[in-house]
Amino acid sequence: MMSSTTKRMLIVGSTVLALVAVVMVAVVLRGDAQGRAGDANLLARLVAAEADGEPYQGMVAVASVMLNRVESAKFPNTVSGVIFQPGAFESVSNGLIWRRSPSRQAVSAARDALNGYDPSYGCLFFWNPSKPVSGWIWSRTIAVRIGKHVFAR
Amino acid sequence: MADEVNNAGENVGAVGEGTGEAGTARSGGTAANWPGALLVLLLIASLVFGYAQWTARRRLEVAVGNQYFSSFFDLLGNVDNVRVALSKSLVSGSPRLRVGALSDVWREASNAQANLNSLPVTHKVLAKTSAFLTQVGDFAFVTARKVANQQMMSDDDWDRLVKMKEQSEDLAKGLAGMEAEASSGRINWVRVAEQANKEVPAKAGSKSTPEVVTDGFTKVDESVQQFPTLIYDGPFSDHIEARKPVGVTGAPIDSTRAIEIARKFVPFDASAHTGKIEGEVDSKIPAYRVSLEAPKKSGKPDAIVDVTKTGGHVVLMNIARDIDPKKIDLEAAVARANVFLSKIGMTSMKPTFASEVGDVAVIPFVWVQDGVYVYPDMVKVKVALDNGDILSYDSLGFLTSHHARKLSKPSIEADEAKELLSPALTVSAPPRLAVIPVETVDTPEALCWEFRGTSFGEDFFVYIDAASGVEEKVLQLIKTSEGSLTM
Repeated sequence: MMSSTTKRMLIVGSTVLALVAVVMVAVVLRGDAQGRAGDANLLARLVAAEADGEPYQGMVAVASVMLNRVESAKFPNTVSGVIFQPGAFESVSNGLIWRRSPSRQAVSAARDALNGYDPSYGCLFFWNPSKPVSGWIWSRTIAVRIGKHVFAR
Repeated sequence: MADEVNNAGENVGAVGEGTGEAGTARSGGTAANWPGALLVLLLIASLVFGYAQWTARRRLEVAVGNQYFSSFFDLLGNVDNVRVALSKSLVSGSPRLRVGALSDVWREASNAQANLNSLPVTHKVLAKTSAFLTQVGDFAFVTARKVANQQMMSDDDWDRLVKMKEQSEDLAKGLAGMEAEASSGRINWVRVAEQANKEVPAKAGSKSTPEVVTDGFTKVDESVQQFPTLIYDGPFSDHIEARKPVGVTGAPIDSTRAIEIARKFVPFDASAHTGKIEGEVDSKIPAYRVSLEAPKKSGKPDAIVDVTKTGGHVVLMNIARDIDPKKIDLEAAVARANVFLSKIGMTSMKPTFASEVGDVAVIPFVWVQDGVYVYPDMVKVKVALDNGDILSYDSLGFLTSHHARKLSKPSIEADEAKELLSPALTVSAPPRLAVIPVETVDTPEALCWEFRGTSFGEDFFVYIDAASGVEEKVLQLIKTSEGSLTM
């Protein structure tokens, strides 16, 4: 008798699992209708994904890092090239950038950065020191700390 | 049919929970055995599902891998073409062919840079190679322009081209070494990408495919490391980065003074705000970052003000608050910004290219000296269009370039400069003198005649060097989908 209870539990369990899988597939497929070309939109998306919950200055600084990279010879020379450089940003690699629609603040931060407001002072890198990052990145000169991120050249 | 299901049920029981359960299932008969049947169906379904997922994943992996392959092979071709075009530019005797060859270098190098940066290898490994390719292209472009301008290439230009040719040969050789491995199909680019994401240092001795790729690019990058710093008249030249700010003058200040300065600077009464040093900025312009926190229920916003450690100049100020729908127009906003600037002692500044984006206006002001608009000495003021409050102030440009200039008299008059304009341009405003930023090594600025005009319904600004008559720059005013722009 006990074994059939186990079986039933198994069945319920697998049904739940199957349902969860279906829901997950649906979530992934839904996507986002807002995706449109244009530097400001792309920047706002990246800011929303990378600097969520950061102070406003920190959001503008993240957008500025993208634009500083475009200006740097060491990085791709377009905004989309910088954002989609393989492995450059975790939120791009895991698709978070397409799942979160940018807040008004993120859009405004992207615009400020495009207007040349740069609270990172020309930085090319940013990271969250409390999360694991590769060691070499610490060899860069840290220019400023904003919220949870440090910015470096 | 029933028998089959029964048997299958037994098997599942045997696998899952041992033989005792199988016995129960059999004695229960077919009617009581439906859970077993369902389990079997689920198992089959999940196997089918899993297989479908696995094949889909394989296809995606191959598709992604093919993209990387394509980038890699394009990169090989680009670098080879850069090498050939550089040789040709040296051999060509006529300006016509030389300009052609240099343009090829420019195009192939920028494609190479784009392809290199789309490979799944950590930036650390590619940075120097990427910089080299950008500079080769940039230098070729600047030199092509020079040759087209009937200027002679200097001895330095020759030396640079020869060195670049040698360096690109090394680069091509290094990449060719990896080509054999890539062509054999043994490189799994998806694995390379995973490895790069993990940033695991390659183990000595082990030669799995990710290491082959990373090692290959590391070697290529090391060979570029020895390339000398490149200084030439272009935007990616190394001298641009090395320029020192000249507008930061005065005595050093301490943090208490910085807070005082910040408190006085903000466009509202901040005497009750809590001022503290939030951090320090270690950039070309070292500064204290002062945060001013409003007392609770005061209704006033918080502010962040960056004050330079030398001289106590305000570099950036930002006031964060939500903005209500637009109530005032751009003209009123410019007036508000003007009042703010005179209050902080920034006189002799004139607004240009003010633009309206959403519910805010961004108004750049430039230093005007003897009627000459000095564009590098720029401050930007952001104004809220709901009530005209100042939201931000940015004097990075001003502090980087402002100094006492001796503006020489133009050797070309406005009328003469006008003769040099394209016949397609209809001048729409009287010309004025302006100092604009240029990329040349000797001087970062040029005195020019500024012409505003229209052509085919679009607005342009054309800058003619007031000393040499060379057309320095053509700018187009691009109307964006949101907001308007005034002069």
